[in-house]
Amino acid sequence: MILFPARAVHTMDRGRPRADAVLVDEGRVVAVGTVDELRAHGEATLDDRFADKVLLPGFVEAHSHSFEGGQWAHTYCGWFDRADPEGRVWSGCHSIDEVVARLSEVETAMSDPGAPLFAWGLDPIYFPGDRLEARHLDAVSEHRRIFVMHASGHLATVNSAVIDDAGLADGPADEAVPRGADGRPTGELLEPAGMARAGDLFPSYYRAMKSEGGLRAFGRLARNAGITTLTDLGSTNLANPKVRERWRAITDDPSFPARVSIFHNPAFGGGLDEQVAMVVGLREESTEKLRFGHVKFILDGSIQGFTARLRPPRYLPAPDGSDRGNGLWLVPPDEVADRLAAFHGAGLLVHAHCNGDEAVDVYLDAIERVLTDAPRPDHRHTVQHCQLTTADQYRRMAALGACANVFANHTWYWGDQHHDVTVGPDRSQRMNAAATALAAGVPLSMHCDAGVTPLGSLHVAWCAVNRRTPSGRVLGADERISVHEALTAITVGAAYQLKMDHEIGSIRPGLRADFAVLDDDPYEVDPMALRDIGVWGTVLGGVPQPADGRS
Amino acid sequence: MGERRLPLTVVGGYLGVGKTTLVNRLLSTTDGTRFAVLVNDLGAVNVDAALLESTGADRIVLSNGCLCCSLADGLTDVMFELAERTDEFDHVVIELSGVGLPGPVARWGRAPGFVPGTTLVLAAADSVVDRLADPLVGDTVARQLAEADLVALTRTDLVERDAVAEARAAVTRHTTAPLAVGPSAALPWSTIVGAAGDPRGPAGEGEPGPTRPGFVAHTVEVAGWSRDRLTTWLDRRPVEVWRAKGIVDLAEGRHIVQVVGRRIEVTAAEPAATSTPLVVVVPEGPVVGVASWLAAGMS
Repeated sequence: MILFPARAVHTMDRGRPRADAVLVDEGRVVAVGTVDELRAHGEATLDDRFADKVLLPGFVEAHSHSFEGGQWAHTYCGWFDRADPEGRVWSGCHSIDEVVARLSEVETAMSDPGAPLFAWGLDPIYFPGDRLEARHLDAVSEHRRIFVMHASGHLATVNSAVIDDAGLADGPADEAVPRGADGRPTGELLEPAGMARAGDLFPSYYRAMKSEGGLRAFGRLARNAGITTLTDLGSTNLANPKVRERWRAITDDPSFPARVSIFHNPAFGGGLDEQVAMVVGLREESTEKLRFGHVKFILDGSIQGFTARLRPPRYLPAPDGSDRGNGLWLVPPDEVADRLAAFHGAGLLVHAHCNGDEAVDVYLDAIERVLTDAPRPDHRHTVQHCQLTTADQYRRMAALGACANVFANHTWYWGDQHHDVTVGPDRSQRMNAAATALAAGVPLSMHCDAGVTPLGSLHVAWCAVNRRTPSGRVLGADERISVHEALTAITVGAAYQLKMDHEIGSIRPGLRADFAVLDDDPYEVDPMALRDIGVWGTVLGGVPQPADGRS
Repeated sequence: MGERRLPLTVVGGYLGVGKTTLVNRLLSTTDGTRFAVLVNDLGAVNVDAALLESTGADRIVLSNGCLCCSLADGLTDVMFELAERTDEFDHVVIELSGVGLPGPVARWGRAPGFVPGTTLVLAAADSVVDRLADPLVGDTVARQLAEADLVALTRTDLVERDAVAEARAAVTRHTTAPLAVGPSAALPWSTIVGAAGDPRGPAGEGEPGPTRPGFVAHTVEVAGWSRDRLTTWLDRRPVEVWRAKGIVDLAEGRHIVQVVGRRIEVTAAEPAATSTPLVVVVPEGPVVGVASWLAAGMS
């Protein structure tokens, strides 16, 4: 047994919310209490490395994607500062000049003159009116091929070396490779079909992102943020046994510092009955650190991409006054209930991506129909993102026993754009309505959707507590929640939605000894400093996992 | 990657319009066209067991040279594979999901290994009016129709004649694409899909494919016309004329003419290509404007 005294232990358990120390044996918590109380359990080794640290349950990220790690195979050029898997912070690029400067710096340091330069994270929504084009990238290199993927994934920009190498200027003009007034391709490539014109660059970009190193980086990023349980929410094809074997090998490695729950996404295809049988069968392959058995639907797109499905009055008009229409369905709405019925009938848990409120209506209609036909206690079907979910929808979710996992990070990353560009001042203040969800009695979690925004549970909590935007707005002061509510959502709240709250998410006897180890006490710091609290690392199953640079 | 480029047809349309029926028909083809068909749900594919050569988790190989691939791992990987195997197929068909928009997928027609083919959107005579009025999916169905080169109005045998007219009117409010109208079983699918092969490839014999009941082929002599005269005449064709093909001697030289839906392509032919008449497929029976348009071409 190991006894860890700490400056404070916040257990997220009502029975004993706060303690001085935690006693661990064989990867599980034996007890929390004072050091004297814990001595009653018998002989234990005292490990006082956390004597000046604050312990919380290891954070649980219930909506993330493994490409968060893989994208660091390429050069980051997004708007916000972002820490890489080694803990180095890359400053944000706030203009096209800064993007060019970042790429030039990296290009100069590259040893292989023939290797292409790949970059990611560019989000033109932050520099309206300015478009990255080949002529900008030519200032980085005229010879080396450069491929910059935009944050949306729908657009890439290449330099003239790529245009020439791939012969993009030959042949008739077409919309996937737009041309400028001079008749030359601008360097923008639209959609995968356009990106594929850059020859081997496009598949190489994704291959590097899906590498084993990327999955390992995903674990390091989690540990550096105090996260002990991750999700890969429907981003890998579990029907492929090689995919599962690789995850198994990585998570079996004791040095991989996180548990991962991997959801099946029916978008990977196949007959519904076979998919249900596969997911049921996969549950048998779960281990202590690797979980299968849950399902992820994607109903609509994103709000900042104007592809989420919104109830009226939908989106603000475009700058030219034109109607933006409504977004895209990724599943025919008529099929949602049938698909849900199939997985629900087999006792499975289904989380559904619904950014827009119209998508939420469709999912709640499906849940209601399925539950009417086949009542099932404790299903925990969850609405993911809930960005525009309204008060009536939260009340309905409570009545249906559904959970909400709210995309709290959006308030910071796109809050100003939602206010000014997508839905306007009123609805932007109602977005990601954690306070309304709690008031309606809906089980709440909050997430970052990594790699869409960086892994970082304290940042997620900071967003929900403060609702600040980069321009300094408080976006919807009445939807702010307390520090305790936010910390509950990113620990036991998330564990509940993964059906793991009997195992992780709080610190109490019998649960796995998974802790976030913090330099400061989130209950004591200024709430505006919540996201700045240093993370020493984690404890996973009783084993300390220091972040990079910590010991 | 060889010189050969495969025509790419995209098939869209909401649920219950007959996309899977079309896929099954193409895969069971007996006219020698080797289709590579990409589908979301491999399990829905149903071809004669005698045709099955091998079935795997993500693909079905058929003895008639056709291949059916699942899009489980995404479109990109499959398209890069097909671009490497253009010698093994004649035509690529991508079946969209019920809510898929054809535009972004059709852009693959410009990628190495492919040429743009038809964007075909199916609409069912017994449901399209309701679908277009549906508050949840009406805008999606309308966008699909707007992005079509050719719309096939199917299941016409399941409704009264008035309902067909109503469906046709509803569709044409959302698209300028020509309509192929008929009972699903009777529509000449391989012709609609443009199965006569790559206009730039060796198989360009100028036959617009077998006609089926309800359609007739007319031959139009356009030798000696200028390219301008030909395209002007084709531009004026009635909406019912959605398929024409030939290798013809224009004033500017030998050209391949392809009309599929609203797409018109007139491109210079290889010197070795044998000239053929221009064949135009039109619906049988009196259709307003067709006779006078044909007469203008024949005068």
